[in-house]
Amino acid sequence: MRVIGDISCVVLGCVFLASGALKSVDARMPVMATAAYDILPAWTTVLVGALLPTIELVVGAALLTGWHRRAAASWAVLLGLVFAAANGTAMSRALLIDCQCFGGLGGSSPMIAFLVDAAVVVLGVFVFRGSRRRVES
Amino acid sequence: MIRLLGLALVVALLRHLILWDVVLTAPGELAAKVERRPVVVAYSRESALRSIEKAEFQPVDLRRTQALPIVGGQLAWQLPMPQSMAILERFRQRATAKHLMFLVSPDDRDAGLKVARAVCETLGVRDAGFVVWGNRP
Repeated sequence: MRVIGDISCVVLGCVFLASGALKSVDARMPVMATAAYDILPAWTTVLVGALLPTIELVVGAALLTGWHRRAAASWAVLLGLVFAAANGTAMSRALLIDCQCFGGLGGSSPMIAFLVDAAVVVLGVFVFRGSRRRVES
Repeated sequence: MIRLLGLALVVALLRHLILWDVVLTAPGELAAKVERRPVVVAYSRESALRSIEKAEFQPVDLRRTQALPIVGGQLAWQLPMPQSMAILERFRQRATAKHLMFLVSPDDRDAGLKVARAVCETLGVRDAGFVVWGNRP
């Protein structure tokens, strides 16, 4: 379990770091990617799009360095769930989106993006559980 | 978790201040762009044809080949791939329906989606349908 947790931590850390870095290149990109879901009002979309890349960068860096690993894993699970919910609503409305989730792994299909988000949640749970066992032992 | 969020907020603020990007220089323009962003919805062939026949949607044909197609009794616009803004100008005055229905070949799905968004933004159309129709005979 510990080894799975460690591997999940490295994979998840790299994914979040790469995703945050790719989104940080152009400030417009994450804002427009958030807007594609047509969920939030315009100004909230700008705020979320402005913050999201750095949250991903910080979570990725925390996972890779082990700094507040459990909290970082919790953030990873939370972000994965939020993205999955957003992709779920996009699927239910048959929206075609340019999902920039995790560096564009989702492509323009909400279904693929949803599966990527689900994988992130599963990895995040592994990291969280692995971290807890280490604290207990 | 709060500590990580706090760090992310500080990093985000520093990043935007250092890069002095559009989030700080023109947030209003960005929010306006978010509001104008077209919502593209995937349709099945049957429901797309029904909507075109009811004249709810005006067909825009992005499929391969050169013949002028008639879809659902309406003459479809024909736009080449990739999108050409000069050609778009010719179609600007032809938008008689409020919504546009884009027809694409299966191989051009992602490129067609980009063209559809660009056409909608150029013409100021907020809602669009999108259907993978197969190549034109």
